[in-house]
Amino acid sequence: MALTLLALPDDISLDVLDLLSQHDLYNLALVSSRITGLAQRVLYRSVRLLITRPSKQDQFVANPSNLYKFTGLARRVLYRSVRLLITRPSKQDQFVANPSNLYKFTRLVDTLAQNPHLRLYISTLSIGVFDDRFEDYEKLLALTPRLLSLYLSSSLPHFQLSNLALPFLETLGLDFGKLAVTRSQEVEEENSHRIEIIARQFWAPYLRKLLIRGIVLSPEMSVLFPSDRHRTASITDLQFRNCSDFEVGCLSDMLLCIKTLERLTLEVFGPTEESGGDAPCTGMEPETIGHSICIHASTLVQLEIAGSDTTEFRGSLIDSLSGYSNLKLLAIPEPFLVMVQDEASTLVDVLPSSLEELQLQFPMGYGSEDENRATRIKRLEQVAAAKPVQFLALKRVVWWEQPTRSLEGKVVYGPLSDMDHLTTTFNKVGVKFEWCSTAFFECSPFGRKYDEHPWGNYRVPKVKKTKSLLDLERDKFIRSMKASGIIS
Amino acid sequence: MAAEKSSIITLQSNDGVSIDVDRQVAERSMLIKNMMEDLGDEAISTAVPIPNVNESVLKKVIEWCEHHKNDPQPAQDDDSDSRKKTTDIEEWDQKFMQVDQEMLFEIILASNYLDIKPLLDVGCKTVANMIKGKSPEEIRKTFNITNDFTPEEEEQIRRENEWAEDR
Repeated sequence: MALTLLALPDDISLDVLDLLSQHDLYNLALVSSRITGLAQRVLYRSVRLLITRPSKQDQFVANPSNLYKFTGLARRVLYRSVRLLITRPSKQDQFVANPSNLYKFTRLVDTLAQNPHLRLYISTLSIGVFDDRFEDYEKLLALTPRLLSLYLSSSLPHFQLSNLALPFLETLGLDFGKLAVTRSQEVEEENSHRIEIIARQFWAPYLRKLLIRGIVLSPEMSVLFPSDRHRTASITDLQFRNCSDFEVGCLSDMLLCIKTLERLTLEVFGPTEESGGDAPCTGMEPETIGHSICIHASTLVQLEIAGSDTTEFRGSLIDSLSGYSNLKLLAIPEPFLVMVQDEASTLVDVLPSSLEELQLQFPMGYGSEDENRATRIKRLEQVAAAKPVQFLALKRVVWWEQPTRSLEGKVVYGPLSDMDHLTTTFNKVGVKFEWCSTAFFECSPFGRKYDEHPWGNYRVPKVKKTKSLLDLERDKFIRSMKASGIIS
Repeated sequence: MAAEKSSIITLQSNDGVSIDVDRQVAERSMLIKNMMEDLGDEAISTAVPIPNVNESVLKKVIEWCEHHKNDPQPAQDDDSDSRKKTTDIEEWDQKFMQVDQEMLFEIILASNYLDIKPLLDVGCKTVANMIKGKSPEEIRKTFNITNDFTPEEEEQIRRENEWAEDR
């Protein structure tokens, strides 16, 4: 008898099924009773659900009541799904009528309620909710108490997670969406509520990884991280995206409560150009941040700090990082490490010798030309020169030049030949040099790792090749044409 | 050097055919590699029986090992974080896997038995690509599987998993 798909041992079949999407597994489960069990085992291992407001097109198709007025035409239109919106269906209608959204959630809850064996498969749950009429996470979470990873993403004003009890949780991702631009009583209350949710999960016994997006680390919330709980939480990987406060707020208390930290990502969202001084955060203080982090100096392997495009940097530098003896990956704004205009202030003096990857963020503000370019280049030349003796592990250096959003793609801060020069200089000592020009951390090479976690698929940042890059490529091309005498 | 790595070892398929292989090539198989380490050079003098694999499959597997003999050994503990859901296959491997389904599954089983992880991965990706984007009926056709569901059972599975359906 010929071998078939069904003849493969289960462990190999599971390896194959691991490579399939949720939709492919759905189809596979319907192929034959002998495959259903395996397909469901993988399908339910990592459950992803995205609940969005119906698109206009959906609303239209989903709500036929208006169309009945046009009977004959209506039917043709209905099936062709032409965009001819007669009236806007009521919110209620959209909600009930669109099966791709809430319906899915109800189906999942029903299925799990009726099939205890499927519940046992679930180890990862990612739910994205972008429909403000939905707030019922708890029903689903009550059915999956043995969850290992949970990612919740929502633009709703309230996560209803007051009774969240997931004792086995190892990874928790809470994406609260965008930060409110202005401060008001309401915004502050909402933010306090978010930090309370975080504090409630902070000491979960197996929690290793905590990812947070969109909170203000307000100092008033320090009370939730009191000194009698210092060095008690087992989190090793703490990541904040799109968070803020001018000072470190309650961050330092959070850090004090952690036993051993191996990774910290801190992306601070500064004022936007539109909001001006009204934003919840007006800058970063390298020195204060440094003081909060240094208690984990001996264990940190990965440290990523970034400010958004108009962030100001105040006070003095972060302390030298040379004592961070395990640090392998460092992404950091230049004003943390050196006095930008002071030539005597070098990078080689403050970087740890264990470093493998370095990303430097150069915040260019509204400037149109880089006045300190020569000094910056020189500092990196020094790093390259010190590689064979001081930075033996160094493999990769990234130059991230950061224009403000309005200037993104419009400014060229210096000649591309500088970048070519650094590429060659680092190449000679076996280090890969890369550079990029983008306003946001999420689009920089290290920030991009954000995409890799389960909810990343719902929010793929637009990684566009900015105009300045294209311009520079063109310059490079023209230069090479000139060099080879094709044009003059 | 006396015990140069380029020595030849003999593998014997389950249908009794002996095939001579470069030791370096044969050691893409962790099973054989570990065995050589345990037995030392005495293993070289006798044919190594590969009881689960017939001649045509063994030859095919050796062809793959020959082509990939200089690849770096895969990391022992593959970090689950770094394992991506990609089913991209390099061109040479794609061509190599253009075989009938029985041979494809035999290669997968052989690479599993012989512990050649990268070849097993290529095999799994090939099968996954044969499933991707297909309807249940198309999958049945591809793998010659009969639908053994009653309409009621099929409807029940459909409803159970409805949350995962793309619309």
